[in-house]
Amino acid sequence: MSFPDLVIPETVDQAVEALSLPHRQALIFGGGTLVQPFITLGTDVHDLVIDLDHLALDQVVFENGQVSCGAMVRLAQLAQALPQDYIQAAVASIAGPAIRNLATVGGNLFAKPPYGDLATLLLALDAEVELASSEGTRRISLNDFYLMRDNAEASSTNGVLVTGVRFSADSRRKVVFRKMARKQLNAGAMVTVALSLRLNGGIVADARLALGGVDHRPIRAPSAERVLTGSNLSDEVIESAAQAALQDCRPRTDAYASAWYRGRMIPVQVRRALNSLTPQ
Amino acid sequence: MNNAVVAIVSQGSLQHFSFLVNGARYEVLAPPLMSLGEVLREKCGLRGLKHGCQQGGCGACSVQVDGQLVPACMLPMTRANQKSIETIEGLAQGEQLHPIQEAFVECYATQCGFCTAGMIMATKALLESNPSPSREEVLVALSGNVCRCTGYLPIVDAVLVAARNAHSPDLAEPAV
Repeated sequence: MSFPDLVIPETVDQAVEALSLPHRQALIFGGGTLVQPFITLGTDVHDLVIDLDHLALDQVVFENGQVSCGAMVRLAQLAQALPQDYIQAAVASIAGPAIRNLATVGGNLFAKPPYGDLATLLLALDAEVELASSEGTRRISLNDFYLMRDNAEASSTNGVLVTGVRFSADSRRKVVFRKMARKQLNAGAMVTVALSLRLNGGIVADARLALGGVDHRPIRAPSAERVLTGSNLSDEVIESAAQAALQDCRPRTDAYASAWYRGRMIPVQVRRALNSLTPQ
Repeated sequence: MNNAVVAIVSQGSLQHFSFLVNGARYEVLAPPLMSLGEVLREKCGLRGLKHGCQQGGCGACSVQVDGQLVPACMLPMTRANQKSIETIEGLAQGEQLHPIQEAFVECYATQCGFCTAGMIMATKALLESNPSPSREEVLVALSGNVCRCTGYLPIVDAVLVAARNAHSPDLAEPAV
């Protein structure tokens, strides 16, 4: 059995430097739940594993409605630190308890569909990611981070390390998390919906809708957000937003559901998420 | 900072690891990215945990590391060094089964046995944090463990019986 080389940096600077080593295909090891299986099987193509265990990125702080969470915070730890029902729902929807003891918040941003349910919620919460690279540290929105990864040449995202996420747990916003899966527990998403609205006198002042399991990564649904913003959440608006969300998705077929079925379910799940906000 | 960041451990090279398993100290040489499950089975000879999927999907290799339930297939040795590990082998005292094992026997909660060690370790972790779980809480706690024989009902019964026995061993009776 052969293994990749391993480096265990003691500082973020060292980790960034290891990421940028020439002629190396580096792989970041957070909780290991995404990468250890490939290391064990020997099918991983990377030749250098960078273990983030010694970087002290495992603190989560919740103060004045703001959450600051290190990339290495475990999902179980996040759920213990944050009481919000949408955080509880998102974490509980991911795998089983043993995996949640290992899997990290930072790693979930890189989980490919049908996984990445926490990342879907973080998109709806308009989270920022903290990045470290040889040019220093910066913060950008998670949505921009995903766009950067989509658009950039592969090489330009090399050398960038996610060290944490920040988001606002603003109790004035209505936040809904729903995951449709084959089983109630421990299954990949067919469609995950995360919705965050600010209502002002029954009118939607601001809407953020994120969807998981419906594209190559968790996405925002701007077409549906435009329908919702400024609306009164009437049945007609909800139906229109549900249909609009479909335009923002490119669902794929996997072992859980076909692209066709996901396409049918996206409007249904968006409608149900919106209906859960309005008295029936 | 020099170009050399920190020592790179080259592939295949063996490192020395020291850890406790069920209170006994083990010293092994292993590649740092070899999984704890592989080391426990192949180097320590502890074959109670099973390798099902080796990708965290089945729970058959569940062990406790410093009290936390984890799939042993997911933890590389570099993360297991100096830790205290509990496996199924540590539960029985000689011929005397652990109360959770007794409950599994009592409720016919095992058929082929492949999932059993993981189920029992998940049960142990549950009852340590929640001594009186509801049926729903048992389902959540066992949701990472797959059984292909029993249909789960006798396993869930066994967990509830184990919890009840721990409170009032004299009144123990199988769940219906």
